[in-house]
Amino acid sequence: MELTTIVLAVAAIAGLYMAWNIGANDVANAMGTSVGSGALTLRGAIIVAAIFEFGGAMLAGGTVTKTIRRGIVDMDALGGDPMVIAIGMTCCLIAAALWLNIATYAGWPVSTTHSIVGAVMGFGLIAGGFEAVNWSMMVKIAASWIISPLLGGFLGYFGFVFIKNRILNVHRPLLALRGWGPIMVFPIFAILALSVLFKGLKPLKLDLGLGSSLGIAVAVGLLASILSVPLLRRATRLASEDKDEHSYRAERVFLVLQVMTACFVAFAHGSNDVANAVGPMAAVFGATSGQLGAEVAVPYRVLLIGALGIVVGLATYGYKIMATIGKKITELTPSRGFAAEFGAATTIVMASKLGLPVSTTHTLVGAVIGVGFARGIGAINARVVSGIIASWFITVPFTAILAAGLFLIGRLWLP
Amino acid sequence: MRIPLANLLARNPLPKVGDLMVEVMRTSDRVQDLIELLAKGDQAGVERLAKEISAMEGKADDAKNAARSKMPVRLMMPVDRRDVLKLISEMDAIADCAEDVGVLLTIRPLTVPDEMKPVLQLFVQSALDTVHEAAKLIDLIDDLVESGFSGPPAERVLEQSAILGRAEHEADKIQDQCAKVLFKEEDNMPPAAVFMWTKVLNKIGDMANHAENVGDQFRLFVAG
Repeated sequence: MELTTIVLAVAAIAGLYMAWNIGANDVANAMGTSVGSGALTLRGAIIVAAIFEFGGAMLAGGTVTKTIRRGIVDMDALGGDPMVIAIGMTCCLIAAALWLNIATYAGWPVSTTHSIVGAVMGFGLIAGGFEAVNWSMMVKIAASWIISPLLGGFLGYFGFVFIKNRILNVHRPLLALRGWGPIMVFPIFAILALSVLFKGLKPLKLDLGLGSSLGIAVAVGLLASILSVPLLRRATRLASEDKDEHSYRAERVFLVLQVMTACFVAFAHGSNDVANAVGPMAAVFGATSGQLGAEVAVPYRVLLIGALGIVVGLATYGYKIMATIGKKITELTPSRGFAAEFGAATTIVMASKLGLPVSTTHTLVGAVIGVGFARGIGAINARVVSGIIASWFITVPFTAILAAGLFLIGRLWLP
Repeated sequence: MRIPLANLLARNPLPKVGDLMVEVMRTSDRVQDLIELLAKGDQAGVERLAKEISAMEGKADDAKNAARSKMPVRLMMPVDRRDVLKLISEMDAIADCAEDVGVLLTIRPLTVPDEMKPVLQLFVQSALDTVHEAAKLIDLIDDLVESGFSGPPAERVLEQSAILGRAEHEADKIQDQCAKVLFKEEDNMPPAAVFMWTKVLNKIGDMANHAENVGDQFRLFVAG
């Protein structure tokens, strides 16, 4: 059998496995808050995830895919042999997937993103030496790993303080929701639209600049909030003046709003994390088809493999994790879940637009802690935070060394 | 499994404080029966009830330990962990004082002078009322957590703390009356009895004092 065919097959299998992992673990973590608060059923969460993950990957995932594929390692410094890249990126996928398997088994809160970035860096170091790695990009990525949970936490904090002061704790929460609801719907749709429109529709030959996409995004947001007015009016119809009834019903309305943020989170996750599987695969497919340096669009079959792997991961294993999360985090009420998800998704989408691969789970954890700082959560286990910080320092070196080792072996087959 | 989000959210330990309050109230309420038996001159009954109260205080201790064990250092809560621990020990102190009243009454059998009977019963009643007002405060914890420690539930907590403070002040005033009546009778009773009575009155008064401290802890929750 020809070497190219073997590499392609191995890359496809490793990419599929990576995608499966993302579907099984990451997506489940991302959707867990919605399942836990009861905003979505398990089946609903899987359907929402399948649709919006795919949408996020296709419409807004290109930039991060490009970063993983070409941004971390300078492909020109690796010499002219496309097989080096093909074998190297395959090794990266295997290394990252192996590490994820170990971490999943041990219960460590590591990130698929950090794993693949570390692996690609390790491969670059061996294949092209110190200069081959784009260090300024690495610094940016590493900084984004610290900034994204902080920003998620910041948004989660202020989101919940706002909800607390303006809605939950006023005299008539339902009436407050009538007024503030449409205003909360606006940013969800506007940011979502902006992330799709701004440099997102290249495949459709619709490359909008910042100005025009901003204009359309505002229009979409306004349209959504106008449409939400009658819906919210119906949901907040007053049955009685009872205070408890008011609070209970207000949380029910947040369930509806949380379904929107759940879609937003799934979209954000798709835009950022699908690249972890698709990026290296695209590099392999690109290299073997002889378009090494050329600017090629991510082949659709690669995206299809990625999307397929994620949906299969969700369906085969993700539901299990989601069921566990759903049972464990019932104390996160819809208003809290809404604030956390909105903060996390906004952060992730922004990072994706900048081409920065960030960790969805870590950002979401940051956002939940932000809500906790606003005194919104009964008890947070701070140990998870130290686990996350430890994983920053372990994941990258480990996958880098593993990918480097695998590449040293894989290189033996080079002609 | 790698589920950081599920591991992140721990069970809220504050409801455990409610369990403790139930035990504390059950224990302290028996002091009223104790004083009634004492007024009747039923020393055997006093001994029996004192033992019973002591056993109930043991149960309250179990509830206290259960509440404390749910508060590891690595738990981030909307209230300061130390404040919650202080709250728990103040609640526990109420039960401790109830137990002490029983113990004191068994160390040296006391008789209640007739002039003192009504005001003593009133005093016990007012001290226990203070404890009950503190329990109402504990009942507000759930609402407080739900609202993120602000808004109407926070206002209700402050109102209830004020009510609690007034109840304690009332108990204080009746304690003074009680002491006055006691010292009016000082020539008619042995000095050791006067000594023991002052101790007993102080212990009953301390139940109200510790109950008031519960209110102070709640003020800190809302302020912090």
